[in-house]
Amino acid sequence: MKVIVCAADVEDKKLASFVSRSFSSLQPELLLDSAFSRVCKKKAAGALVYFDSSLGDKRILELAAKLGEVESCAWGVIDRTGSLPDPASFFFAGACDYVGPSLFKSGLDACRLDEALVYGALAEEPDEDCEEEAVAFPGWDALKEGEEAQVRFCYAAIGNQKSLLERIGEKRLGKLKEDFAAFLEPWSKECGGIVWIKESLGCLLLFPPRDEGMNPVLASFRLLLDRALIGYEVFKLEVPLTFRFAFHSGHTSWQKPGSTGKIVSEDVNFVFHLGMKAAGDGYILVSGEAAGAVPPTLSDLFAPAGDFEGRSLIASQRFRD
Amino acid sequence: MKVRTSLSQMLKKSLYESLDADMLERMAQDVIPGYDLRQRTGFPPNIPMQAQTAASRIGDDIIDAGLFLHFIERLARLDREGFMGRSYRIAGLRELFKAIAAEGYLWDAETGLFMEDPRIRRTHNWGRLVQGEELRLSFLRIDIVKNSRIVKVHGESAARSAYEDLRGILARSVERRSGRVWSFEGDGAFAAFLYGHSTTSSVLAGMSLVHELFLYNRLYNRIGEPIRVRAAVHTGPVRYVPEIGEILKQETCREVVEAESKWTPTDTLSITPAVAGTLDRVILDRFRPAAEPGSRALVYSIAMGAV
Repeated sequence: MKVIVCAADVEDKKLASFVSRSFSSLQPELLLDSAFSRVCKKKAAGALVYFDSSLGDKRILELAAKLGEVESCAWGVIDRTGSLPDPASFFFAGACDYVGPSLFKSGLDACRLDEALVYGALAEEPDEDCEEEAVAFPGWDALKEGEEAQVRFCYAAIGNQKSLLERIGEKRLGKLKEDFAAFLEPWSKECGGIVWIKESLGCLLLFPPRDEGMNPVLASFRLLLDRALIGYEVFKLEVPLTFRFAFHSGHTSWQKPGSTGKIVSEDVNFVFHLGMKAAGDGYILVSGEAAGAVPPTLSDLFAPAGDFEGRSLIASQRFRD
Repeated sequence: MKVRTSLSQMLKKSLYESLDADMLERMAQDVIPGYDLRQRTGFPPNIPMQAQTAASRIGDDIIDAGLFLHFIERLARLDREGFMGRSYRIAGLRELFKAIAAEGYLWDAETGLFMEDPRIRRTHNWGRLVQGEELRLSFLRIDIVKNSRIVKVHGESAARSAYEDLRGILARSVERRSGRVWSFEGDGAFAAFLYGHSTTSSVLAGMSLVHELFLYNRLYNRIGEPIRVRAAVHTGPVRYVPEIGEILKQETCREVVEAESKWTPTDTLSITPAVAGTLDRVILDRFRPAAEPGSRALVYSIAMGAV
């Protein structure tokens, strides 16, 4: 899901704060009126667009009319001071949301946003699972051993290990893998995640079912983008370095890192298979279940990548050296 | 750097405990060319001078000339490498380093130079360059493509906001590699690198800039049009003067502008042969020859394709 906020002043700090509080996990875009007019056909497809009251009601309705030609798009209005004279006129014109002064102050929570998306036909009525998903993730420390948890899995590994073995030797490769696992600890923490299982070839990381902090697919994309710098500056390698990433969403019985030996989980098995057998170097492979984890701002770089063990896949473009 | 009395005394003590008057004068001449100790003290040539007297005069003159850090760096080299085949131990050198660190200057073992601690302050001359000093610097030059059009189409306020973002991206890429952004005008920017492996640092900063801008345009750009740059890195000698505009007129800076404007495609970082020759293979291999006829530059850009 993509959120665009169109305003007369994109440097408005109060508006920026509201946007950041309400849509942080969605990588919202703040656009000027002029910029939005020019790119709305291209950018608004599939997006929820909010018009700020600074544009004035007439201009909002003009811009909203342009969205009529855009596929799968919904719009709403942000009226922080309650200054727009007739909010109902926006709904008559097809709006799906109206953010008044009190809501502007508190920000939109996930449920409120979901309601707007459903009303704007950008999402379906949530079923029971979705309701469960909408509940805030309690944090890793709050999970009880043996408790079933819904998570995003990420298999992360050093790429091209065969070539590295030949070029730097077994001992240094072993050290590199240790260093990589240590590197992933603070890295995953920035996305609200943890390094859960360390295997000889790679690591299994867990992230909350919804973004808490940086989006993990975006963070992985960034690592791939910076792979040359990380190899040289962080790991001090004189040979090229790349990574492979595989994402999946599902359930597992929770055990603390280091106590995961007896876990029986179809999803854990699947993500290990996905990472070790299907994923490749220099790109991100994502199961259909985890496709929602791909940020809208990167979605054009992902394409269907066939099936694996009965599940559909999408893959990012591959970074080439 | 402002030198406190205690640090000045520490230097003088270290000098007279380690070197005789002749050697002290020799070291001073390496930092202040043509330095004449006898003339400075008024001692006639036929009267021997005590090391303590020489150390006191030289210490004061070095500090007055603003060359305290340069002189300590020279003493450190003497301690490390000796002079004319003879080794010298500089007493109290470790304590001097500690006292200098307490003043906010870090020792860069790669270049054997002090630099200001970036956690305390960041000045464009790393808190130590002095007028007329000849140095080998590396430069990262960026040019904002179609700058005038961006301002015209999106308005000055929106363009300024986007350029501030770009400035932040550049500063982060440069300063985390001990470089300094020397100028940021409407149409482009200059960053300078002196410490560590300065050419490698400038190239890595350029690569990082290309990456960060790629992400910025996708994630945070609010003007609805990507900010695009051409970036180039070159290295060469520069005579330092406090007016950055004057430095940018010097030959090395003109060459990096030429590399950027002539040989660098949009969204690309180019490096000149002088830079390429200093890079480790693992970084150099990320570059390919520039397509422009007659160019000897190598270029780097983000390459992606279908799986």
